[in-house]
Amino acid sequence: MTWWALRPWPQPPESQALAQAAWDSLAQWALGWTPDVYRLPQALVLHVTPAARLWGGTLAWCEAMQTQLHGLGWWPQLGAGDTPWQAQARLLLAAASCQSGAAQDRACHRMPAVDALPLWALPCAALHGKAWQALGLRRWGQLRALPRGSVAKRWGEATVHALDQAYGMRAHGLVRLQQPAHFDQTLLWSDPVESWAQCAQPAQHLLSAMARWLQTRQLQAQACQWHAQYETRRNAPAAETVAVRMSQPSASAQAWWRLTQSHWQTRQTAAPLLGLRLEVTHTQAALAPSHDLWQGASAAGSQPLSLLLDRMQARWGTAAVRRLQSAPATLPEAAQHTLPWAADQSIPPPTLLAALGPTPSWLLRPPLRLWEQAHKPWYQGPLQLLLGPQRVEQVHWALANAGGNEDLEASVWLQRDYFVARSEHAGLLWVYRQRCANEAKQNRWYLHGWFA
Amino acid sequence: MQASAKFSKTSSLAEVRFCHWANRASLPLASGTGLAALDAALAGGGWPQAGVIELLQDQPGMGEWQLLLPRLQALQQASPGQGQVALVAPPHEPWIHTLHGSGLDTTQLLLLQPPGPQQAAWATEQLLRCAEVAAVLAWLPQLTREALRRLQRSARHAQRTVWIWRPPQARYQPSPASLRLWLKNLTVSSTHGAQLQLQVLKQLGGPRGQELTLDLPAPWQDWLQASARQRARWHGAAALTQEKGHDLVGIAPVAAAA
Repeated sequence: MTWWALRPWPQPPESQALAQAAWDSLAQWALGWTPDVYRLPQALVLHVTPAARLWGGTLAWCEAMQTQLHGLGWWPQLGAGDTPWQAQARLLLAAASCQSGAAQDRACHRMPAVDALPLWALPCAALHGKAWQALGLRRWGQLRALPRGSVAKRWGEATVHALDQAYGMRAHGLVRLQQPAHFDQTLLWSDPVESWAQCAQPAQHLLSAMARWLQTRQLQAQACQWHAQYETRRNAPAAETVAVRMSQPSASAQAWWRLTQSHWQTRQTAAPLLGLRLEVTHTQAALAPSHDLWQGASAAGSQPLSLLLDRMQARWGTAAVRRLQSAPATLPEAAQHTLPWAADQSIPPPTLLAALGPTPSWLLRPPLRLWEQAHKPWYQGPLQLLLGPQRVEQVHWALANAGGNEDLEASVWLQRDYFVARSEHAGLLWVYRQRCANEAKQNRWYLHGWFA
Repeated sequence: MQASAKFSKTSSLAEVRFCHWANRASLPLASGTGLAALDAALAGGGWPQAGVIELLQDQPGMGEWQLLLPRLQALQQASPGQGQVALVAPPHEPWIHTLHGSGLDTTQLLLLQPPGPQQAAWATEQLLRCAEVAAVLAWLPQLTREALRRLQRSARHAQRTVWIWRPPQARYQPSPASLRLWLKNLTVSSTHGAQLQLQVLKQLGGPRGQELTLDLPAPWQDWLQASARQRARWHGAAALTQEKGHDLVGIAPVAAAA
């Protein structure tokens, strides 16, 4: 038995679009097992022999496939045979006897011999079925027992051709199915669900389909979109799109599911959900896995950092995961700034600010205005100035070219004297005295960092 | 009856002793802190290599960076190119120019600001599972006991250390941490330099309760000593010329100190 035939349902659905979607999803699922997948008019056939070795033999493969199918919630019918048409005929026979309901167990599990297969299961039966029935021809064997020449003369060369193909005497001439170039699958359900969390099962179903698609096309996904279809409500949109993007592309359904969950946790549905559509928008060619001898040992139980940071950014916003970058500036608070983490962005190491003297480990942003007593700064007690002053100056030019009037050009002169101060309780502090251009005003003291 | 009670008591004592011995024997190798006095006080002669290390301090600026920098450098060098140092909910912004000067690779510094204590604990635990992260430093003042136990278990499982900062009031609560240090005060003088007073509240496989005074090898040490010399010179000159009354008497200009 080298061919298996599959059909996604006992009875085809009424809608043509639904039927096509079911055939497509079954074909994509089957392509995850073997590339030898073909489409016959009433079944999907898989060539088992070439790939059986990879799945541990035919029996083990059949069991694994059925387990997965039932896990996915599909209950398709199966038939097996030496050629695609034999497998299809056995599938149709089993389906017909299941439908009739009589002697269900025996009919489904007994495999009729090839000669005993019914003629209505041959591809050209639609044309000549009535004539065969009138002649009392019921089985493949009866037709094959007739002389070839007279069969060809009476019912055409195509009938002989089809009979040869059904018996495996001639090459099958079918065209292999291919995965589509673009992944876009929809899953609809009849009972609307209220929250994103309740969509877990269909979402995982779609993601595993996506993972199989990526695997067979040797791709990794970088970005995808979830399209939610809502129940019609007066103040709610009909659909909503959630874009999910990964820093490092991945083909793993589990990684995508984790990131999707992080996005969904922060969202509310606008109306009850009727269906989900998953679309892959950006892909990259997958790198071949490097078979490192110690890879398994070192990577056991670990997760990629980029995925974790993506999830954190999805949960808390992009600004919650940051890195620090130095900037060429005189003022300490401008000499470094934070920028949201991005995987493809590298940061140059900071240049040393030797002119500032000793600099702190923690920077206080914004600086804290200090209380003064007898012109001396005070922070959890009086501060003793150990080192300084170190003058830092900067001019801000404020251009107000309203109407081309250059007289409005004004400058803000910043002068600071930095000191290292010692506190009884707070350790070593970095404070500065802001000098005012106006002599009448008092200088102010600020705390700007800690030496830690 | 009495004899049996006595027997059971001795057996349980022996059990306790055996457990203590076994615990000590199963301690993983520790890695040096870079401070001889602290190494001598810690079991295994350094930071434990797996588990939670709790640092109790009431405000930043107790020499925490100086205490950790040698270990962070070693961890980054052990995994070149991907030694990320993650700071979870730090109290302030680290000043990268200073840290870079002290030998830390600040291009690999990650700052995480979770919106709440629960999210911060979750982030800390997740970071422990990432192979690219060399060290996790977390400021978790509102950490629950269950979360702390979970972090300790994850850290032990991943064979990693995580440094967690908590307020000193946490010392009254029991903790499953491998090591608990209470950073009490940082005193700075031009003669003795920066001295950190700390107490070992708990350590696995070692004695507790030691009070230590550590001399921190701070980079600002040279500046302070130069300033002290300058000040002494200034005071001498001031005594000669009898000039007094300036607010900032005794402060050496930085340029002169350099």
